[in-house]
Amino acid sequence: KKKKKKKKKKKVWHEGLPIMQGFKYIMRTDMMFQRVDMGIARPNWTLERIEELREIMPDLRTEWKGSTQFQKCEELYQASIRFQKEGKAKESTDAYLDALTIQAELHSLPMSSYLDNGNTKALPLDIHHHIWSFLDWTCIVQNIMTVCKSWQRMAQTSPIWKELFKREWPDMYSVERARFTNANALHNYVSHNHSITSPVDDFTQFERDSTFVPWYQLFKFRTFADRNVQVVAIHIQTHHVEYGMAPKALVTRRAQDVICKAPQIFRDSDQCLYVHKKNIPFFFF
Amino acid sequence: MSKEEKAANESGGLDEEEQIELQLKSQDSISFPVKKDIAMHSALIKTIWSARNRIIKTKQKIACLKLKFNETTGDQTETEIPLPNVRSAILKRVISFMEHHHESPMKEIEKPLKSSNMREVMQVFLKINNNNNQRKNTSTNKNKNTKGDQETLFELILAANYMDIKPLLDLTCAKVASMLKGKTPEQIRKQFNIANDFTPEEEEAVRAENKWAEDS
Repeated sequence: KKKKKKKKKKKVWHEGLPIMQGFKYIMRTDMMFQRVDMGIARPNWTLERIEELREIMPDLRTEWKGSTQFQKCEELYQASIRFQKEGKAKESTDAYLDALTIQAELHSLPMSSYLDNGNTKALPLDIHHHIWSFLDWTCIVQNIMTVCKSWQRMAQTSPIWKELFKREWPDMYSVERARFTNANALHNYVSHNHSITSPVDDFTQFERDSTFVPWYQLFKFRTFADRNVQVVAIHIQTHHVEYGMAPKALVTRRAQDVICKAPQIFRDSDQCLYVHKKNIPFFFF
Repeated sequence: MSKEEKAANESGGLDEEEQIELQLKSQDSISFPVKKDIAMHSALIKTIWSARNRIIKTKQKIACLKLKFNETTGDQTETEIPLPNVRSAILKRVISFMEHHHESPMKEIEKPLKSSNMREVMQVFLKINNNNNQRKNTSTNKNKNTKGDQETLFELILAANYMDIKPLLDLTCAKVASMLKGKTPEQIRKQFNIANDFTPEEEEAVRAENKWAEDS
């Protein structure tokens, strides 16, 4: 019986059938979405803003300005908003639907003329990330980031380093993620560190999507830590001390054994105490 | 197979559906007949197809209720699927990939790329290119990618992204990655025709900042 109920629940959706008896509730939802293709100026950007951004992104594209279809679509949207403000519901809806029809015909992908010269400009950010994810991380830092400004910016955004971090330290990944979903940590990070929020909206939007974890900085930090810091694990109850353990081995092998509440004495400048409590790692230098 | 069967059941589930040929219509209005099974490797086509089947089922139900017909005249699903973002030249290659992948499913490409799996990437890639390639001479010349080939490659990536075919996206992106691998920034700029917009001082600063990646 239970199984049947479950199945029924899953299949509930509006089929447009006439009501034979009882009530029918219909819920309407709207989906809002944002285009992710890069380097295309938004229609609502003012000329000043475009000029301003062009300094950071010299290859910013504004081709839509010449497209009559695009302009017509934009005008209809504006008209729709105007009608709505004037309280003309029917006119507003009509204009909106007309705009939608035109928009459906517009290319959602860059047209082939953008692909000229075998340049990667036409590819969106996530595809760049996908391509680079097949490379070694040292190659990304040393070669990809020095190619040009836009590549440097794209290569420093969070999503790609999230993947690289996961690949490099699979067991630390969930720990770091848990740490940053803490609202306080997030707030502190954002208010104290403006350097990772890049000047262009599109990028910050992307950062936000990957839950704001500064994976690039974390990756860098972890590399330093692995290389330069001597790890000392102390079991408080037994006073058992282990030196020179790599943090990744520590987490997998000793996570349960190592206890927090590190006393002040152990805050030695050239040694690091790595302890583990409730999946939250602390570093004491 | 079981997955496909499930999908078939969800989307209206006639046994004959296995034989159905879909017409994939490219940007320049050329239709390519493709077997349904093969076309289903594209998540986009799969979604369009199952949505259509649901609509038809609903229409039939309404007809049944209104006219009290028990029989429904086989309202056949429209088999044409418009793909307005893909040119026919590219669609041809996408289809030949889907056929190839259907016969011998591609292995997941390992990250980061190693030279051993590079060979596989190249082989599968050359196969798609050769199947429909009029310019066989250029594609057999493995080491020299003309700029035209590079544009085609990027169009393939965009098509794979749009049609949501993950193995093809992986393959094409891995191919681009193989072109980046082991190259200096200067070589990359040349390969992809990218202008260096760093001033010499800036470039030096970037290099210094990225020194942390050395000796690991």
